[in-house]
Amino acid sequence: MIRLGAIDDDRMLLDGFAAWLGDVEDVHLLARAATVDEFLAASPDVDVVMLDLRLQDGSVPAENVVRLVARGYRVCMVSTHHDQIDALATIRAGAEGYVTKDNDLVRLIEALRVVASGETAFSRELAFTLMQDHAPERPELSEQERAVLVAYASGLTLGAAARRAGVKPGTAKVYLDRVKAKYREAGRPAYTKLDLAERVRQDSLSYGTPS
Amino acid sequence: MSCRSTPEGFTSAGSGALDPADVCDEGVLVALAAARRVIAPPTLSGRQQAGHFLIVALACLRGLQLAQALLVTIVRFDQYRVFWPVVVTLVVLLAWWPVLFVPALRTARVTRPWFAADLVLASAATLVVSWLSLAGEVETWTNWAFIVGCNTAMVAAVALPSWGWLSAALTLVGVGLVGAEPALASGEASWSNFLGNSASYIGLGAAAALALRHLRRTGQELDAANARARTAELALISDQVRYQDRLTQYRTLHDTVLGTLTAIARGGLDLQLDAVRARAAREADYLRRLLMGDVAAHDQTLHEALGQVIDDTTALGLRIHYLADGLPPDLPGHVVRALAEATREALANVVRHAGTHEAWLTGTGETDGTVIVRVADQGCGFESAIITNGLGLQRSIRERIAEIGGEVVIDSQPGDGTLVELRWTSPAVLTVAAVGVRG
Repeated sequence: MIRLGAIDDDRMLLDGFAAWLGDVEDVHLLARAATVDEFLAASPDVDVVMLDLRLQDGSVPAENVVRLVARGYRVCMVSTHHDQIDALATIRAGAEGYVTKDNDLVRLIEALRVVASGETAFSRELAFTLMQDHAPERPELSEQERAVLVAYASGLTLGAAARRAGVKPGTAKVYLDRVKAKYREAGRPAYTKLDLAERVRQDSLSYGTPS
Repeated sequence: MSCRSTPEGFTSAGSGALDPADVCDEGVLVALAAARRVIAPPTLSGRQQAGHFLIVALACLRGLQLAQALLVTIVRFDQYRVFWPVVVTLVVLLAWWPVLFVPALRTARVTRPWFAADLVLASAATLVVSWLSLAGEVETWTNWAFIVGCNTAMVAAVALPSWGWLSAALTLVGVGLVGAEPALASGEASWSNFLGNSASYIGLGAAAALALRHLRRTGQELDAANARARTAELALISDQVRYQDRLTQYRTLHDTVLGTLTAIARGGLDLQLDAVRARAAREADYLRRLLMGDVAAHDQTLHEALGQVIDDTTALGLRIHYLADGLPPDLPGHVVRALAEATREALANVVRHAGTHEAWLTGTGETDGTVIVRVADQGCGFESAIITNGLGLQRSIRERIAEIGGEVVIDSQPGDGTLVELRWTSPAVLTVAAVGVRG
């Protein structure tokens, strides 16, 4: 069973989602909040948090992720429209999944299940974003990692992506996970900056020690 | 073509995410749904369905044959010189049954190594059971390995190309002879029974091969008919699109050239005014472009042109996931048009042939000035090496892109989707690069 929390300022969307989840046996939506502050104040006992990319309180998406991850939550980003820069930043900050809201609910649930199981929910949008990252500080990808990433981002299945990239069948996911790990590694220094560390410390003072 | 599509959403495919419908269902329904997930192949063309149908039939037949073997072993337990190895052989074959057929049902084909393993097991069973049956029983029902061998002879028709089934059947005849040889030599088994059994291997193999050929031909005709129907539908849509284009042109003419000419005809317009002359020059340009057929995509960026293609193709019931990044806004009109029309054709091919309702379109501008458009689907796929004509690939895609000096890469595999990649590099960039190298 997956204990789910959702942070989104769109009430209608949250209500619709909750109603739809009523029929899904293994996912329980236990907490809803409009901001990360509100969510952390309640400190609900959930495993996965579905976090809207752009909250109306003007908070920085990557910072929201860092605060939630520091409290032991696994975070899956959900965004109304695809924003490559924010998507990259949240993955670097520790989000385990990234889905756009135009995906149907079945795929959204699928992504949440993947995140709950301790893996990364690699949407095509996320793969595409990583593939198009030309920033100078981007991590170095091997030829195979890049080939798998491009094929998967183009819409092929994992099996077809592996075949096209010339890697062993069944290993495409391993290559994608490696790409994510490299991004996570590259993102770490940026989010141990003093001000953010201070923010996380304050959270733990106000809301208790992380679970 | 009644292709079933199970698009892969996330990389958790292996962890077996459930349909929400399955979660609600209970008991038998859940079991049935689970069984369907195990054996349901992804998407199949009519031709692939022929193979799938025969595999279903052979899997059921193998089940019945193994049940018969089990019954014979129990009832005739005293007709074997040593009983337990016969039971062990049967258990091994029972265990092999799902190993052989579950992947075959999933992929609608039997791979060579899998078939080789089946042939080896059937041969081993023939030898063991023949040698351990009492001499007088070698060519009777007691020797149940023969029935399993018949099934293997038919599986050969699915697994091996053209006359391959015959070599498999002859192998089984040879193995049968080795197994029965002691009993035949001592005269306790009859040659006529042996020859009858041998004829069964060859006859059933031939029957299966013929049936498959017939089914495949029907499947191909079905595929072709479906493709024709889709093409007709597409032609209708493109007629509508052309009509819309024409309408837009008339409207533009009315708003521009006709308006200007009417104003001049009425008189009173100072033709020497700069504004009037500039307007006449602009509209003359428009007419010139109209004559050159350069109007529809004029001033359209690739992003906009692809958007138009998506709108048109979505009308055919295709769900298109579109992602774009870094597309240059200033591509020449003929390049935009060629890339957009090749994309339209690639998407139309998904509708016509892939048997799926979902496609992915990505457009990217690379840092070296190359523009790449990729159209991918997770449908039936095809042998890239065999089929290049007739899918609209040659004429509409390759030629169009060749005309603008671009490249097309098409990658596909039966049951594994298709990726069409269009690449175009600006000649300006190429020249600069060449000069750079020389300098």
